[in-house]
Amino acid sequence: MKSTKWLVSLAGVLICSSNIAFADFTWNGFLTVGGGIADPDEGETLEGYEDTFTFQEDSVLGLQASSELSDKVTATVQVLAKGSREFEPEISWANISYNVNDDLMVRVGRYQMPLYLYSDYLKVSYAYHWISPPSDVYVDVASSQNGINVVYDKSFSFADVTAEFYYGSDDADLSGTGGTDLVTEWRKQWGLVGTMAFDWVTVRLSYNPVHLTVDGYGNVPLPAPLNNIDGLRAVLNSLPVGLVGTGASQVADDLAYEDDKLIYGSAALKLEPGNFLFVTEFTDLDYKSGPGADGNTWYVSGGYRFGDWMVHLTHSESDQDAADLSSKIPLIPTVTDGLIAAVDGVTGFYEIEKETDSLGVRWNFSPGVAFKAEYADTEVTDNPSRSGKVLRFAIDAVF
Amino acid sequence: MKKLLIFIMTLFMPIAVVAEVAVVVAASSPLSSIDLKELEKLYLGKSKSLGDVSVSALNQVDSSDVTTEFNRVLLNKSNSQVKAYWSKLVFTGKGTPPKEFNSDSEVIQALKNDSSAIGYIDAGAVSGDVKVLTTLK
Repeated sequence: MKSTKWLVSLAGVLICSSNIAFADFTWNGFLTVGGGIADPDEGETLEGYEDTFTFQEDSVLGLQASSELSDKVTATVQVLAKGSREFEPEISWANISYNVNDDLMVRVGRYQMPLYLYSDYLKVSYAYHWISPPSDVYVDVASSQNGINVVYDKSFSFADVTAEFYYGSDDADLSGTGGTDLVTEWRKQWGLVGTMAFDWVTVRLSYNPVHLTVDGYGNVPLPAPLNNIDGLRAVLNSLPVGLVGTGASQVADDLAYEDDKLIYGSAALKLEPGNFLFVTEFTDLDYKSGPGADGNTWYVSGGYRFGDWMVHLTHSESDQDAADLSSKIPLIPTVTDGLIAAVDGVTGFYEIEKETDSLGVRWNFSPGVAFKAEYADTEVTDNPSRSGKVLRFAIDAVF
Repeated sequence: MKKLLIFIMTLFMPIAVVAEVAVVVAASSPLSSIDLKELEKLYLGKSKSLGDVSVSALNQVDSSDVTTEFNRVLLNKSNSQVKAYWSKLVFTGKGTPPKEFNSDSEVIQALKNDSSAIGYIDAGAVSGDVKVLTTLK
């Protein structure tokens, strides 16, 4: 009896499904299985790796489904699961694109922001020579947003030209950062990107302003009696104007991410003459207000390809300077010196001077599959717990 | 000693017979000649036409010798480089690679069904159903 029921319902499903016209999907995917071991100068972990082999930090799975709804309209969804985020699936792309003509595409929905040269396919490791682009430059932050993206792409006789514009917003939950629930709200986030490729020379420039608000930033803990950043702000606001002027309350306002404008810019050059590869990129981050650190980062990478093998060397640096907020507070011994130190402590949290040298190899051992190994030596000035050596391996596949 | 050296050298000489690649269209296609630069752009997804004629490009699977030779001669890239190139476009929604076929005969069949398509096959497999625009070697 039971099995008959089951058969009937199965038949029902089959009959129904035969009447439904399913959209024609194209499936694509990429997978990186990575592993590594770290030797930090101090402590036990470095760049997500430990002193024993672990296989999570660089592992990534991406699955993409796209469907041509008409000649000109395509829907695309891409789901990413990153080992560095406990394989929690996230939607990196979910958009509908409209091809105005062969050269112009407009899409709305969720898309990866083209901040830097490798941003578009940041997690598609098979597409480049490293296991992942230099982390000094490509900081692992949420880089997708929701909005509109216009891409103009034309191949002229003298060069291939790509011009891109985007506008949108995104919220990212950074819970777990210092034990505080932080939600970043990126607003009025737009950008202009231009790329020109002349034979084996590629030049790329991008300009990306955005307004940032961080919810929960006031709860970031500080030593007693301030307890947290809001506590510090309250003390700064309570100082008599007659004694410290308006500087202290200005600093209290600055100690929050509230619609603070920042601008990312980047410039890249890639040369691929014959079997050589040379690529360099410079990025600049400029906060117009707030406690965030201005900084610039860059890398230079060179490689040589022989047959299915490639050997490459990379040097990268990141230099973030703490915002100077405390100089607005007049120094009054035993009254404001402690507060000045507390403010410097908050802004100094973002200060970093870091550089990395790496040597890597890529071996294309089968169509669509590559093996990679990379040895990197990182040094963070005055911070041995973030300095040291990491050896990583990865197998990349695209399908 | 010299003989030994020659013997060792022959060991490392490529023994595979390199395929000659014929770029083909249906016998009924309006195309009769081809510009290799335009063909390269078509196969890299940078254009969708040859001259004024709108064309769809057909590919063969990676594992076939004719694909390797086509990629090497026309695109000046290894199969892995071509795959990496397309993965950049596919996973950013900026392009779709040419459709892949399993054999020369499948390409010929597809060309017969679509006179606006272009493909490549081993020069030895050319039949009366197709027109050879050029041979790559």
